[in-house]
Amino acid sequence: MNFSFHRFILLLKMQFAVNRRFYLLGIAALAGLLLVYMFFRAANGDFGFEFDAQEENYAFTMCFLTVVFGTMIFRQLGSKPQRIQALMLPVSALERMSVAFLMVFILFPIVYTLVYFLCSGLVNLVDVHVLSHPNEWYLLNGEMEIKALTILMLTLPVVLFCAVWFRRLTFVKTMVMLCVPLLVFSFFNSVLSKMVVNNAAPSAPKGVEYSYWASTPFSYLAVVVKTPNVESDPQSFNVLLPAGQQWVFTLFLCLIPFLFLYLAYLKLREQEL
Amino acid sequence: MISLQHLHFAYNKAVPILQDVNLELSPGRIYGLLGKNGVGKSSLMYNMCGLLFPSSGSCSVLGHTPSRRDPAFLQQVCLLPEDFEMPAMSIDQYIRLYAPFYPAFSSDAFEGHLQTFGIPRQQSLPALSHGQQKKVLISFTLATNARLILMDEPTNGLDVPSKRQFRKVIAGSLREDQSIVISTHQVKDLDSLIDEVLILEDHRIILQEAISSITEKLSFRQVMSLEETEAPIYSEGALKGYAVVAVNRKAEQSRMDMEMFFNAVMTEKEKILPLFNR
Repeated sequence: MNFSFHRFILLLKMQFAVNRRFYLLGIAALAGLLLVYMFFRAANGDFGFEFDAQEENYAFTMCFLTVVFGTMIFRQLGSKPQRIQALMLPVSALERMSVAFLMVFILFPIVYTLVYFLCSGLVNLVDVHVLSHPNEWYLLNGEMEIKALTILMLTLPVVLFCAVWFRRLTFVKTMVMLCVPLLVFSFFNSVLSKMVVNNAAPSAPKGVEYSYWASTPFSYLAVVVKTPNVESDPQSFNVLLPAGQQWVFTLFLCLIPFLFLYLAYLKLREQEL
Repeated sequence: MISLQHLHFAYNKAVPILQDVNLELSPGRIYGLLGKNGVGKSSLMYNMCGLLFPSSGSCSVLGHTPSRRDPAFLQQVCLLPEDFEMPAMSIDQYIRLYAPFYPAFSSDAFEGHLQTFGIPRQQSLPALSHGQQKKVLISFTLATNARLILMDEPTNGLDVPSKRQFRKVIAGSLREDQSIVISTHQVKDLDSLIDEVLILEDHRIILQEAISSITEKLSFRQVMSLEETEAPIYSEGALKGYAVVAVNRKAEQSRMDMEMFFNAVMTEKEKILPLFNR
C-alpha cells in the first residue's frame, strides 16, 4: 500500500481543475432540472409539492444521480490517449482510489443535497406564499436519508468497481451489474422459501394450507395459513430468526461493499493500456 | 539502467507481438528505436514504462519492475505518447497542476524549450494547434528531468522547421544519468541525433549498435554508377547516381544516412546483421 497525502491533494486538485467546466455545468443543469420539476409539481399537484414527495424525490434522485456520477469517475480511463496520461501520472492506485471514493461517497452527495435543498426551499417558498399550499419544507428528518445512504453505501462500491472495469457504456453495464444479481438473488430467495414452506405442508393439520408470502434471508419467513371452515381471512405468521443470529446476514451485507472496494482497487492497480 | 530479459508480450496468445526480447540500455545515451509500422515499437516502450505487462520474461527499469507502477518509478519515467489529449486550461495552469508530481521538474528548462519552439507561455492549450500542443508536451516531458524519457513518434505532426527545433532541444537536454528512447518509423527525423540504433523486426530486437560502430563497419556514399565501387550491400537510385551502403574496408569516414541504413537492414538482413553479431 503506497499512499502519500501530498500526492492525494495534488490529484484532487487536478480532478477539480480538469473537470471544472463539466462539474459547474453539471451543477447548473441539475439545479435547472430540479427547479423545473419541482415548480411543475407545485403548480400542478392538487396539494402542491408535498413534504412526502420532497422526501421521496430527494432519496431517489440522490441514489440515482450518485450512481450516474460514480460511473463517470474514471472516465479518463475510457480513451487511449487519456488513459496513457492517467496511468503514467506518478500516483498510486490507492491515491487514485481515495480521490474517487471522496468524490463519489462524500462530495457528490453533499453537493447534491445542497443543490436539492436550495431548489426545494425556493419552490417551497413559492408553494406556500404564492400558491397557498400549506406544505412543510423537507430538510432531512433522518428516516428516508438513512435508507438512501444505506442503499448508496451498498451499491457505490459495485459502481466504482464497474467504473474501473468497463471502459465503454459504463453506466448501462453498471446498471446491468447492479440489477442482474438482485433479480437472480430475489428469484432464488423466493424459490427456496417456497420449497421450505411446501416441505412443511405434510406436517400441517388436516385441511390446513400453508403458503409462502415473503422472506428476507437470515431475518424472517412470512407464511399464510388458511384454515378450513373458518370464515375469517387467512392468517399470516412471521417466523423470525432470533435477533442474536441475524448478525450473520448483517455481517455478510457489511462485507460486500468492502469486497467490491478492494476489487475496484485491485482492478485499478492492474490497469493496462 | 534498463534490462529486458527474454521478454514476451502478446495482446492475445495467437498473435505474439514481442518474443524473447533481450535488451540492455545504458544512461547518457539517446536510442533510436526503429521498425516498420505495427512491428511492436510502441508495445515495447509501453512494456518499459509499465503501461503493458509482459506475458513472460523480466523487465527491470531503473531498479524497478515497471508493471507495479510505483509512484517512485513513475516520477523517473516520462512518456511522450503519439496520440494525446490536452486538458482545457492554460499552459501555466497545466504546469501548476502537473509539474508537482515530478520532483526534478525544472521550470527554467520548460521555459527555455518553449522559447526554442516559439510557443508563448500565456497561451491556452485548446487555442494551440495539434503540433503546438505537441511542442508543449515535448517541453514538459524534457523538463520533468525524468531519468528515462520515452518518445513515441515524437515528430509526427511537426512541420519541417519544428523537426529541426526538436532535434536541437533533444540534443541540448540530455544529462549523463538520463536515457532517451525515441521510437519512430520516420527514420530520417533522427539523423544526427541518436547515439545508438535499435531495430525491431520479427518480434525481436535484431540489431542494437552504436552509430560510431555502424560507420566503422559500413560506409555510406554517393556514386555516379555502381561500377565505381566494389559490390555494395545495398543501393538506391538518387538524383545524381546512386546512394550506396558498402562494407567499410578502407576505414573511410562517412556520415551515416539513417534511412539508407534502415532500408539496407530491412532488405539485406543476411548480409548486414552478421557484421554486427557479437
